[in-house]
Amino acid sequence: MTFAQPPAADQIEVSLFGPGKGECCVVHLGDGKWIIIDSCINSETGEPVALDYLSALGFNPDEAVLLIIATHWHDDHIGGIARVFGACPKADFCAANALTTKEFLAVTSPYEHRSLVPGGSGVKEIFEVMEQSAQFGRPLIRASPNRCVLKSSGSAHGRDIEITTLSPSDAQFEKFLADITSLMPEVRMTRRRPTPNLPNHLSVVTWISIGETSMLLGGDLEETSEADTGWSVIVGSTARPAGRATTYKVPHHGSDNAHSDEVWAKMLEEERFAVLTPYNRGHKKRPSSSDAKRICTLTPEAYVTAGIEGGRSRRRRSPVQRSIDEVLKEPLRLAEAATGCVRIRNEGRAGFEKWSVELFDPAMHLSRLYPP
Amino acid sequence: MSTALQSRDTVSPSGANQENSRDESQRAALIQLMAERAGANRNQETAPDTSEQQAEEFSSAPTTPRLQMQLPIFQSKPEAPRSIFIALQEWEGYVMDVREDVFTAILHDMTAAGDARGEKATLPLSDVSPDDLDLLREGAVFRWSIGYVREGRTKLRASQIVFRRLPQWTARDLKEANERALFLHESVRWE
Repeated sequence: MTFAQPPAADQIEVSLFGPGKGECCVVHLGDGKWIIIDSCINSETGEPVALDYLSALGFNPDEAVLLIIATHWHDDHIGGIARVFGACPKADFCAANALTTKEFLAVTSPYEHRSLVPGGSGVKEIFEVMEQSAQFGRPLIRASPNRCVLKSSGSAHGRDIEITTLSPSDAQFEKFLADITSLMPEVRMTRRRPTPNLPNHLSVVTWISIGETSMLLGGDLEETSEADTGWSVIVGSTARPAGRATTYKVPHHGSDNAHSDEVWAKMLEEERFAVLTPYNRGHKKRPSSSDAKRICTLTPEAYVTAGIEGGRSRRRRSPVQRSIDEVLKEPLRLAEAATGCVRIRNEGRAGFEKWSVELFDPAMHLSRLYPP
Repeated sequence: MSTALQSRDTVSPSGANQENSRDESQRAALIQLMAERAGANRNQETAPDTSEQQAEEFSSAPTTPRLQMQLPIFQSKPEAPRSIFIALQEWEGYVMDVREDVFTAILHDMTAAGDARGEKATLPLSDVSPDDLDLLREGAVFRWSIGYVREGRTKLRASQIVFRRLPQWTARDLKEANERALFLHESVRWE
């Protein structure tokens, strides 16, 4: 991918990357200052995509990144975030409050301790962040409902900047701890990888206000039928920041279990951009065809960073390929598509409410994901 | 080393030459004893967590099916045809989800440097050995090998899925992990 021009000092940018063992959103706040939400690995370079991107635009992550937010704790969603943390020594790091608990650490630590599992322990990234934090004395920030985690003013665009976490709620916190106890290893239990398929009770949702302009980054938060968890508690909160967002990072890869009509009705502008990444590591593909249709009916400006399916695996030599074809009903494929990018920028001071979209291969309009 | 070799050391520490002088009844008894021990070991959900075993788990050497590793022990004189599995391609994978007759897995190529993303496969449960089905669950680790089984002059193309009997968590592992968790909990400063 060639990203050409960096944003001007007074321009706002939201860029979403994925897939690549996770997704990553980078936001230019103005004046060459950035925040990074989650992380994924660039399928071309093997490096964290945020670091590649900032370097390609001529920014030094060492100086340019003010804040990193981890919305997840599992490696499959935050590939490379420990490297991002290490490369951005001036950035604060924000993660869900439940990760601070002894319970979470006690359950997940055995998975990371002397892990023998291919593809990593599943909790390596978050442990490495904590170890760096302990080693270098870099404090971490707890994400919790309606907590302001960054405030700034005096930018070239002349607007105040405020970044607020909207979740996880107290009830989500409790549910997560209850869920995760099912992973608690016992003596004589066979080692394995912690399952990535736990409900996303804990995901951090982020609200970014820059003057009158706002963005809602939904992490992977799922909707529930309960008033004190999921999206309902956020929509119903009287303490959440005022305003409506123009850009929405659709949660949980557009899945219907993360959809809330109320979010679209009460938290987003009439003219809004929806961006998302696909997920294809399990047997359920996200977004599904009906998910894509639903989102496209809610906004004509809906984009996805890549197709669902990874490309076909390389063909092996003849006897091996014959066996593969005999054993598998479907062809062997790469676990994910190549990493793509959707970039949304405004026009700076001269046109703060005017936005344009750029798609970097293999990103596409969401309506093209499942051609008729 | 494998459990089969440990059994042989226990039963016949003095080596193969002494075996040659045993009469047929002794041989039969020996074979039966070893078969029972090997069977008992196979029936355990996991192998004992010994340092030898851990060294084996870290090794990138191809996994050889247990039955085939035992074959030399059962080999009678004169030479019976030996089955040898020659791997042409191997992946190590972990299970993402399990359905009625298939499971989805992410595979990492152990034969040639593969794409960092890994590969995704939907594998039939019918290809999993019945002995391994109890190990099949989300997060479980296995090896998928494709190659040839050579037995005498016969050569057959074969695919096998063997679930790795990773070491168990020991009390010591959990104690160390808990100490690490406590260290992090106390060392990381949260604002």
